[in-house]
Amino acid sequence: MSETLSKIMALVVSMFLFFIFPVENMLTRQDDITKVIVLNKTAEFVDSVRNLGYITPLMYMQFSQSLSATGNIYEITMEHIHSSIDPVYTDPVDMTSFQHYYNVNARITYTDEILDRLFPENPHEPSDRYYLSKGDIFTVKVSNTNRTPATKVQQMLLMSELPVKRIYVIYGGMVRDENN
Amino acid sequence: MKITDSAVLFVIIALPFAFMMRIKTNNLQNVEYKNILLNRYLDTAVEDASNAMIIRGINDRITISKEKAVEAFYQTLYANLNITGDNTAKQRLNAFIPVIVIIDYDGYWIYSMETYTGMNGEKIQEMLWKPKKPYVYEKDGLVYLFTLDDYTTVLDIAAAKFYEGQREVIVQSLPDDEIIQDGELFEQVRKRTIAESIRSDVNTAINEHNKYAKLFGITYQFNPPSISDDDWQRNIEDIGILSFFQGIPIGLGGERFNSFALGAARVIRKRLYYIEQDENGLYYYHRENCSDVSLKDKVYDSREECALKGALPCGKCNP
Repeated sequence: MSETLSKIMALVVSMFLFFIFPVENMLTRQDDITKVIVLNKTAEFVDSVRNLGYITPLMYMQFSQSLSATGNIYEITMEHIHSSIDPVYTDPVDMTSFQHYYNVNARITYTDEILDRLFPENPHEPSDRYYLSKGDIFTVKVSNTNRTPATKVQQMLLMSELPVKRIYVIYGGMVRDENN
Repeated sequence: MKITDSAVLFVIIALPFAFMMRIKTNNLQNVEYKNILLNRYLDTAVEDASNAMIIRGINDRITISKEKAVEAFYQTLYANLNITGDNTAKQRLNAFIPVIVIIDYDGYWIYSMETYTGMNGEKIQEMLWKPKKPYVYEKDGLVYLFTLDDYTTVLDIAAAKFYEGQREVIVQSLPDDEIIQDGELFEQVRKRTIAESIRSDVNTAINEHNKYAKLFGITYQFNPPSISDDDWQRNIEDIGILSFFQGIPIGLGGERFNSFALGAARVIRKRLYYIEQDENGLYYYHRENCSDVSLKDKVYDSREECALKGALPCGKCNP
């Protein structure tokens, strides 16, 4: 009786050691490498935006395509902090109330608005570049929204829910130039 | 053999591999991170250098100080790498920078290693400025001296004559010259001349640098970077600084950091803004390429200037 039990136990343990451990290990490494690729691609995209001073629809498409080539689904969040130079009026509709000085205000544009400019919902509106100004801050956050294979295997082993976010990259900086 | 035994044997064999894979991917992550970091440092350094090199004198006359540029470049680099007070580390870092180019309006300077004999007869090796080189192109006995815009000097050797000015101005003086006559060809030749002359000097300097790198104990083989013709021509459009970084070891697996950075001082290209009244009677200022701009009668140089006229930023082009 005990002979059979130990045999079953041995079988279970060796199954784990033979198959599940190598698979889990390999998938975790794959996640690590994906992280490197995502960081690399994000840095490339953000740096080209910072150097050019605009985002074209093609640039964004190429960026998202290179991310999806890693086999995961990502959420891309963009943030553009624009220092807007606004004249000061006491009454905005009365031109004579101009105070003869200006304020520098930070105006933040988020992903939806930027994407709406690049890929307009209204088909009659031409898709356009999104322009940034020198000195603005542009940040991109990328995180995965699907469970990576490694997470799935680990969940199975631990029999509990694990956080979805495995690949998380933030990259940003100041816009260095404006081009037309 | 029992199944448990073979399982244990398998683990003994597989574990070192798994362990090594983990170290390798960690190293890969580290290398990538360092690559991005060093690129950032290099960009900041050339940016600071290009800001520092412009000196505005009386009547807004602009002069270029190459010494100030290089000083700012190294200072920022040292500050970022936290070696400002460490002379040995500075010297070691300097050995990885084979060449710096300062691009001026009508020529360029190369800053690279040179050997010379000192006052007491000893050999001295240090980074030195080479004399300024103009952007020269020679064809059919005519010598063209180009600049970063279309201001050109043409020297006719046989006739011993000078023609100097904007291309549109000298176009009458040289009726048979196809380069001056054809605007497109002129641009092509000009851009190629500038890129080619800088490229050949950079390559020579980097090849030369191998000799000196050995003295610093660097075994890395310095190679001229492979940058396409297009990239050269696109990058060099304005007064600026171009610096090359090669061979900095950044990983366990012999990975090296190779990069170049270009900082432009942006004195030639100018930003323009226009103010226009909309249908509600409010004034807005726009970028020059905004689709809402219809009449371009008065140009403003800065956004601040527009705001002081009481104009609001346009919501479309977001200036």
